[in-house]
Amino acid sequence: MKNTDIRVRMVALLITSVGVLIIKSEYAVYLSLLVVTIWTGFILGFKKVVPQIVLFVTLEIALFFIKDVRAVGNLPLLLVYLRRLIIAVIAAYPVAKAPTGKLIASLDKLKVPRTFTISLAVLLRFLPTVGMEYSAIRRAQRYREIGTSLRTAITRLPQLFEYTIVPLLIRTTKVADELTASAEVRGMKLKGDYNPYYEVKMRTSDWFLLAALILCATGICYVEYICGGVM
Amino acid sequence: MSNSTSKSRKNRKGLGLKEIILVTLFSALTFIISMVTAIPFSSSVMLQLYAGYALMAIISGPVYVLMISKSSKIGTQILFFGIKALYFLIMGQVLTGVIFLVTGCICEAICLNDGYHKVLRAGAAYALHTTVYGLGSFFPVIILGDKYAQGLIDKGYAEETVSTMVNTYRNPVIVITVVLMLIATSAIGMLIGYLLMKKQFAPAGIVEE
Repeated sequence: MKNTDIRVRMVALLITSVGVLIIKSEYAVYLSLLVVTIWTGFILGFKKVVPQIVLFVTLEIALFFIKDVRAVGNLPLLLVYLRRLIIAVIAAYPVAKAPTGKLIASLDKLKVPRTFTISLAVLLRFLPTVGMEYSAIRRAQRYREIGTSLRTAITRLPQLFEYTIVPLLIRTTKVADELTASAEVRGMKLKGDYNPYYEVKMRTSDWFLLAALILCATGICYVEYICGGVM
Repeated sequence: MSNSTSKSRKNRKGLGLKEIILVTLFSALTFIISMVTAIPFSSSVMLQLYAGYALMAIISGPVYVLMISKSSKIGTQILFFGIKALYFLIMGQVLTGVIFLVTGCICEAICLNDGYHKVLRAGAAYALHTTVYGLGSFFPVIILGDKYAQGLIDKGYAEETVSTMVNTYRNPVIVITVVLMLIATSAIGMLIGYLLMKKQFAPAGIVEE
């Protein structure tokens, strides 16, 4: 299952995104979580899904205790939303972790506009690096004793803001230049033919998985119906 | 050859590969800023509206100003909004995603005919972006009404919490004050952005003066 076609993974993500929006019954939510966990576990390995499952369980426990507590304000609302978000995130993992070239080739085969393809590929590769860039900036600041204590952070807030946002933006601009050069070297262009390294082809196993996905989605809809949900 | 390639890139009206990558990165950055500024205030609707989104408008101002300085071409606003719309669509918030796409088109229309280089028009587009972001939570309540509230209750939200949220979003005084506040903070963010451009980015050669 590790070589599942990316288009099948995208269908799984699409079904999950729509499902997360419309399902209401708790049984359907838990069943959805089970299905996407098994799906992502078989593609990427179950170890990758463990943090998300732990987070889901933590949110469930937190929600159980604070649901009727007035003092926490809107927090239960946020937790209910985050629970559903986790399901969509788990379903997005197989798409996000696919090789970039394969992702671009698959989207190209689906005749998706190149602008969207490039943007999605850049997003998936850039988002994890923002944290690393920020950490590097904070380390440099601590080395220069900038923003090391709460008192200086508050009294010198404008400087702290400037010394954080300016390097972050300059680094982002440099990353954009490097990514552009990298894409051009690999023959990526906005118009014209693109000859991918990866072959994009639906195999028999991919068709079986697609059928299984649709079957699972139908099953969840049925559970939603018998539990008095939206259907 | 390299000079003619460079000139043809500059003269091109639409987005090139470099601009697409740049706008994508900056759009992702503003999105991350919005998430980070929302988290501390997420326990209260009022705090989120008046503090979280205001903070986002101020911090994202320099990001927006740098982005339009480096990519002042047709399609920048649509892509800028489109990235965020994509997130909402993936997370199942179709209505909000569609509203973002429509707003992107409106902002692109505002910035046509050299609008990216005009402070007022670029500022208006940014103010609209921030306002739509802040009012994003209002739209399902305003458009779908009680059906939306009932849907939330059915999904497990506490009835009292939903009722408080709906009453807040339906209060015209709150809507107007939030809009005015977001416009003001957007202006502050843009001002900070232009000041940083003059002080830091232009001398560093990141943008042309």
